Amino acid sequence: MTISVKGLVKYYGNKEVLKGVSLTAERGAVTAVLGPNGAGKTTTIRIIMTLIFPTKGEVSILGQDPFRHKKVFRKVGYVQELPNLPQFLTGRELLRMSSKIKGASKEDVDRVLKIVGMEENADKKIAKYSKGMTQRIAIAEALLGDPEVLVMDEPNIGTDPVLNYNMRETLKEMKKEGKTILMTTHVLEDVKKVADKVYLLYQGKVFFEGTPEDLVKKFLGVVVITEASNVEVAERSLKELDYVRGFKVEGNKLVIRLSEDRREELLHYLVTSGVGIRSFYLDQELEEAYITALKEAEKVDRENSNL
Amino acid sequence: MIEKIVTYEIKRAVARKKVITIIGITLLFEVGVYVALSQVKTPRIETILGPISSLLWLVGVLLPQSLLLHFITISISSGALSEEYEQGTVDFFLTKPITRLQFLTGKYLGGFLLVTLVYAFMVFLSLMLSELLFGSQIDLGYLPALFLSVEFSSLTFFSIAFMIGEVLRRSSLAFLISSTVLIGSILIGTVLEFVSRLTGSSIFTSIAIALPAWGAVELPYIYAQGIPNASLIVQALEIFPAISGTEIEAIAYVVLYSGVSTVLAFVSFLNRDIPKRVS
Repeated sequence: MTISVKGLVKYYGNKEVLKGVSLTAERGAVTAVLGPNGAGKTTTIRIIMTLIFPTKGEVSILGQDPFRHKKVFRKVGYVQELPNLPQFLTGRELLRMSSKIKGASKEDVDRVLKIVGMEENADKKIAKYSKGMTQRIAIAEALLGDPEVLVMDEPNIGTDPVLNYNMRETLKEMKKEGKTILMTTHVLEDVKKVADKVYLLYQGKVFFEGTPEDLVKKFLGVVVITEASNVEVAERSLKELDYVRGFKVEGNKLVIRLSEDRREELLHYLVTSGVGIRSFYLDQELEEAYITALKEAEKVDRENSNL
Repeated sequence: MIEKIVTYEIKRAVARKKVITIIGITLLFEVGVYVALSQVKTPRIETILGPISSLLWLVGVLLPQSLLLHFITISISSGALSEEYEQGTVDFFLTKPITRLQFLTGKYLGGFLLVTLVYAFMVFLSLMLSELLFGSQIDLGYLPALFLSVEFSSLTFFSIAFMIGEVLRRSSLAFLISSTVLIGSILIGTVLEFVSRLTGSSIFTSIAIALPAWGAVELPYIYAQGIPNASLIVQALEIFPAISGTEIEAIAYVVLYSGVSTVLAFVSFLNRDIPKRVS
């Protein structure tokens, strides 16, 4: 594993904001850390990036303790939440300074500017940039030196759909190249499209760990979408199945929630019942699963605090 | 890596209007002093200035360090770290392959280099204007050591303001508190010396000498007293003419205040969390 965090505990005064967070991020994968505001996502990232000292616990990046071996950051790119960059520099000046610090080449500055589409605005002062442009330069800066590890704290704040798309494509490329990406985000679309692993933090604790599919399966069950030519027959048939947790009809489309993964059995049943199946596919209602998971987390937390 | 932070600090400071203002003030101050001296042409003044006109370079070299240079120093160092917190840019550097020690050392040296450049500019103006308005200047061999003594003594308030800026992480508050320490210790020192004379007790003088301002302000004057025929200029410019301490005492207090402040700043920075942008 490239990033490993074990048993992170962080107190601010008497307040325990992290209660033993452990997570890992592997090579060639995007690991997303989700959770509501105040869950401890940014605190975890800031500890990994050595901005905050943990009260207890260990952090390792590429097998090294970043608090003792800052040189490891030559191989790490970081996009901070709402990047605060030196306003008096131009985008290009910032990237040049950073490339010197990271030991990246001058040519790399042009490469990263191209990735984020900032070639034309690179010579303007950062003070004159819009929020989105600042974010682009911050992302470009993180990509300098072709880092092995990319850590991003809510990188989508202030970005437009084109940059989001380019960013996702860049992440996919980086995954293929065997890079490690750890990100916190509230944008579930990104999680659905690029994340391989998800950690759900709630009140400073990891409440869930697994793939995005696992998140949906655990908190929503298996959701399939099917288009049928005879919806009424389909409705009648579905009511007879004990493993169908529920379903809703949207025109010819049926969204069916299963309590366990018995998709093949369902498909066979619907076909033999004469429903007239036109399409049948697994759906990942990540947003709904996320909200359900949070409600569950809140319930568990309440129960624990009542004990 | 430290040199990259030093370069950044100089660029950052130059980009700020504050530093441009400081350079403007310096220019006005030096030109104003020399033009005033050259324009007052009463027989009495000419009699006084006549024998020392070849040493008038000392006025522009010594006068700023009485007060102005310390304010400039405070203005530069109080913001060196605190402004990075206020703007949130400290995150940018500390998530790079730069240790906290390297970053802080770079900021400290960068800020102090800037103070040195500002003072060098003052000295340059003094030499130029004194030569231009009062003819050839003598005893310039004392200048390097005098320059160093001013630089060394300015470490006191540079370090105090740097430390307060790090501890409080607010630039305006750090400037206000450091300035208050400077002015406050000058005023208290003067009062203590007065009390010492009234009571005849030397303890009050010792306390006055131990205050941060005395060593920081007096060390260059103590050194300048050794320049032949310069005593009239030195006496006229001194802030604490009545408090007599030794060069060793002045050096010791500069070392003490700047040393303790610098250590506190480093201990704080190396051990505290970096908060998200504070303003």
